[in-house]
Amino acid sequence: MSIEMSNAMSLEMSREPVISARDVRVWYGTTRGAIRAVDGVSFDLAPGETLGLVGESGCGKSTLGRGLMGLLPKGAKRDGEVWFEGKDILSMRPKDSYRLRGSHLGMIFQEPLTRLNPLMRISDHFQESIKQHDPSLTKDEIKQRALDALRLMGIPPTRYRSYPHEFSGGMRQRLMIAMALVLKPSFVVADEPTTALDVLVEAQIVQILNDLRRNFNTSLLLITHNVGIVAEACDRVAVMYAGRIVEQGRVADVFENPQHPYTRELLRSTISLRTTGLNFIPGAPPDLVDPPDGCRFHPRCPEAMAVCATRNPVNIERPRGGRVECWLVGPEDEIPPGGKQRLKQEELTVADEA
Amino acid sequence: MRKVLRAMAKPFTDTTGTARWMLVAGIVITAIFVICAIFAPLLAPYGFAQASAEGVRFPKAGPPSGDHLFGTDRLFFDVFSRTIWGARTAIQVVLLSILICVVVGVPLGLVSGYYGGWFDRILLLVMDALFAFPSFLLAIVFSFLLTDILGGSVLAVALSLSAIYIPQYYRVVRNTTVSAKEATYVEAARAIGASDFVIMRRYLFQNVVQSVPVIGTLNAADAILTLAGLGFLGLGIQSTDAAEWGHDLNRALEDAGSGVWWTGLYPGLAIVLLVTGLTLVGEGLNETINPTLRVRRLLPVHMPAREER
Amino acid sequence: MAWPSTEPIVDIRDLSVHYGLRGGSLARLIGSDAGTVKAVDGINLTLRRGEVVGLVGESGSGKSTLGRALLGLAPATEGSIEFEGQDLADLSGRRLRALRRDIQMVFQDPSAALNPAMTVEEAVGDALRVHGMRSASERRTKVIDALERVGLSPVELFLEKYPRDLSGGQKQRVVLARAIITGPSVLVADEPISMLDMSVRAKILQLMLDLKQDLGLTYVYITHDLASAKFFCDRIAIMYLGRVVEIGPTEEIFANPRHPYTKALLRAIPDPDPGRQLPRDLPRGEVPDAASPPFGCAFHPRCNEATPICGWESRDLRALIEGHWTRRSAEEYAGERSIVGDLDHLDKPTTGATIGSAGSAETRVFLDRVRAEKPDEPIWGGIDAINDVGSGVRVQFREGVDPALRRAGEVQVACVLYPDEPTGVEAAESDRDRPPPPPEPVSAGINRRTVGLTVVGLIAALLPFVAFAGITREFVQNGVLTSYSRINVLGILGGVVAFGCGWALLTKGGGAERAPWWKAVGVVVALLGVLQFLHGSSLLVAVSPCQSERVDSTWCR
Repeated sequence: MSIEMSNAMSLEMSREPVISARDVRVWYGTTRGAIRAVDGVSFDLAPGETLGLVGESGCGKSTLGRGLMGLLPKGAKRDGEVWFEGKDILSMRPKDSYRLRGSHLGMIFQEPLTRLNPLMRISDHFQESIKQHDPSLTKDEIKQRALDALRLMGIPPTRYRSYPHEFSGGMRQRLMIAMALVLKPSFVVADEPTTALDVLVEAQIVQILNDLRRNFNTSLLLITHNVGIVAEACDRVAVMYAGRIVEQGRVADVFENPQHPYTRELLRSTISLRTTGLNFIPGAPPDLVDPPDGCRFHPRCPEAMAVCATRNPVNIERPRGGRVECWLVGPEDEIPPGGKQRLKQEELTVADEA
Repeated sequence: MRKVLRAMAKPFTDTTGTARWMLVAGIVITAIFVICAIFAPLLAPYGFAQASAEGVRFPKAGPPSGDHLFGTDRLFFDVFSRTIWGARTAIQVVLLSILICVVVGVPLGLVSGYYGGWFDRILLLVMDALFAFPSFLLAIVFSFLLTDILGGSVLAVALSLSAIYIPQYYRVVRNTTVSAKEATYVEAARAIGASDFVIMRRYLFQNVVQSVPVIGTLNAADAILTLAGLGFLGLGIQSTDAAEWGHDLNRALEDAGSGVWWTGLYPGLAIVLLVTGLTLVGEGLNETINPTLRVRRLLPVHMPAREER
Repeated sequence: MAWPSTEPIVDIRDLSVHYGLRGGSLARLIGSDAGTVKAVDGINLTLRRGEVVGLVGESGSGKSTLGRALLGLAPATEGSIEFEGQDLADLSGRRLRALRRDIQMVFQDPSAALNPAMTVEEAVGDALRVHGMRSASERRTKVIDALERVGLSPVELFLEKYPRDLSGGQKQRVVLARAIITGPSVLVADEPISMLDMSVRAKILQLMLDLKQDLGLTYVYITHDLASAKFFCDRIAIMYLGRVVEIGPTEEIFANPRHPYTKALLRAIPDPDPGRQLPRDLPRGEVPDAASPPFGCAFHPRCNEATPICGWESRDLRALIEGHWTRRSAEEYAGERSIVGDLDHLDKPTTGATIGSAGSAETRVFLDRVRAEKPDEPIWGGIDAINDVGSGVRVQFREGVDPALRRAGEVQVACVLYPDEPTGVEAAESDRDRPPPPPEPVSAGINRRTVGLTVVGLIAALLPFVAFAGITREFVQNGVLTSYSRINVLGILGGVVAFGCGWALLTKGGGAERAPWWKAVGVVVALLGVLQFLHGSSLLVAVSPCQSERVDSTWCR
């Protein structure tokens, strides 16, 4: 295990990232003002690596995933840079980014049934998507490819001519994964892929996602609210709060030794088999139209300092690799005098609860 | 009280652009006719069946003049007065018929949708059969049957109009009830021990009647046309009982050939305006109440330049 | 701690809740039965005052149905639920509603559980109103008290709010307030935290613990999440496809899980501990179709510890072969597929499965190849014989055992791996090996209702035509219609009656046998009814205007 890990680490160092996001912002315009759903997010993803994106609902996880794929609703605006295979996909023409989707970028959704046409056989779904990106393939070649992808997901070839409704929930999600991977994209976003599934099926899907890097060498951005899934299926984790990634690093490092109070509180509030006492984070994520000044977590933070309420925290290197933005970690020399005093916070009541 | 006011203002505050203008224009037009209807005795210079004033007989089919703004018709009646009185008849009939529709259609739909079973099936069949008929024919039939009993009164015409619109209210309320009764809050109401009547009255009613105002206003527009149609055919209200635009149009038909245009133009114009006004209100309401039609208002996003760190 | 006491508050005996499946219109027309779903199938459970019992299982396990049955929201098909000595099944509708003061429920999705058109005050107060508290000020006092109890303070901030103005946690607090305001003794909580945000789950769970402490509540906690159940429950019942497969004290279940399903659930919980290895031996497949559950033990197709006597059957053979094909190359698959032929017929559950289309010997070779790949599969032990039949083979499976709940240490388990003799009354009562109930008496052929419906329907459909014949003659002779209204009413009424009869025949005709020809008769009668209705009503339209003198006669020409 440890050898494998260090291997993976050295690989990560040596290889160029597949996708590299720099200061990405995605804002929605509303009558109340702009919702800053994603507000300055940067991360890298190495080939075959899985990055887990966790956080409470309403912190911008899904928006970030869709923003990377270019699947944003009308009225949303994005900027920043996302480098993928030497090109910035945010500044691409819509036609080019459309061509990229499916063949190079894949997406797995939460509700598979809503993404499949109930009147089309599975074979037709595969033909449609493969043909679109590789028109030169013959019908037999397409079938070959599709069956290979299905087989890896544990779906027998006898079901190739079935309709979506003939599959159970877990099978449908496997189907979606097979369809997302059949073109062998180098980067896939999975948005809460197991939320609608039963416990045992969820575990099966997590296992499949975990095996992805072995079978397809695909980089995966796994969006979930379940820290347990991150621990089991991801190499690295990015903790998102109020539109920003507050801490990222290797899963083992971050979960064993969380630097950001939000990461720590999130882990503590999760009810697991080892839970002996109930913990929770008071209050709710802020309104992203008008987020708090300084660190966005400071109204809920048990260790907030005076500086947290006034100045944005600086994004710095974590002690054991990765990045974190929290004044508690540093940098010391940028904290103004008196900034380390305990912040007097307003008491959070049920009225502010999530 | 504040709640009621806020609820009434909701269509304005929730709409933007075209939908809001449609609503405002529709309400203004409709309001003018409602004012005419209420204050007809004050606004109209003469009665609707008045052929002389101060002993002087009105001219026969006299052109518009100072005394008679819209002229007079061949029965010596003042066209302006009849047009205004006509608004009163139209509004009376339409309001009454909508009231009957709501009182009959909504509870029927609620009960039928909530209980289901054979009662629902039979009612559905009857209503669909009524719905499938050409509505104008149905109105004719009903006004025939009813005028025999009730005479050519406003009530008879309103009832016959109701008969053709009840199925729509029933259908809409029943269908929303069928889906709403599956909601968890209905089961929750059952779990706190609520009886069927309480569930229908306090839990389902408010959630299923939301589309009724839309159907109401749209039907009102349709009802104006049907009423005029009935009047045109000489059914329903007689010209000595009340002023009715459709009936006046019928009589104006013969005038058209002899160059008397004013007897037909003004009642016709009134019909067109009121129908347009009501339709605009209905469509405007529809946009606010029906969430699938409502377009979320999007504003352009301005992203400020990044702060240098 | 004073409780849990041993005093039973709710006693569930042999409870079954079955739902009839409504097939499609075509299925009903040709008389095929869509079957029943045994949502809850013979469950025994005793709740002691002050304890927290967890019902844990995947979707389709019947845990929610069992919870709803406790409130009388799901009608019991068999068995009884006694609350403080009263059998729920004996209660009239009114008495049952009154009882819901004592047993209350909290729902999974707090957004859906509140009427969007009611304010918080109305929603919480309505529980009192339906139980007869008329005075609004009295209600208000109680509502304020309940809201304070669930932590929604300052109360004034919430009273006038609508559900859409509240966050998920706040809504769940309102639902809890509504549940406790009538002073219940039992609270059924159906996944109360699974739709909430992680940061607030623990808070609501803590609130529920506090309420239990303060109000002396007994909880039924329904969940799919063993982690929260471990923390929250005193006893846990693990459910699978409508039955309890393991039940016992929480510590024992977690320290020493016995049923393979319990073990699998425990292994499957994602854990935030990064040091943990991902489990490799997860159960395959998914929860099977409850309308036709597997033979023998319902969990056997997914079980890692299955034995030859667990109830193997044709569908397991199909799963085995298809699993084999996911590991073959395309050419191998094509070859083997041509030997075996189509597998769809194996979906009809039977212990004698016929497969193969290219000869018995080839099929045997194929089966040996499948077996060689995984020789330890318990299904091979479950095969009694393989005989040659035509161009294939017939695989005869051994009759399986459907295990009853039996005592095993401190818990009870329904699994053939724990074959201890049942001890005590509870275990004896829960024995599922009792003889099957006698089949429903089949009435001889057609019952009286069917005949009655047919006769009435035909008369209703045809009589107006007879009457019409007379009218027509009259019309021809005199040139006028005089009695049009009579025939119209007759036609419409007759049509409606005939349609009703036809429909009843279609859905319920033919007595217990439900023979298809009664459906045909039903269709004919119903169609005649529709025809008559249309005929009658169209006549109304076509004829009646002519009778009035008001309209000139152009209408009638």
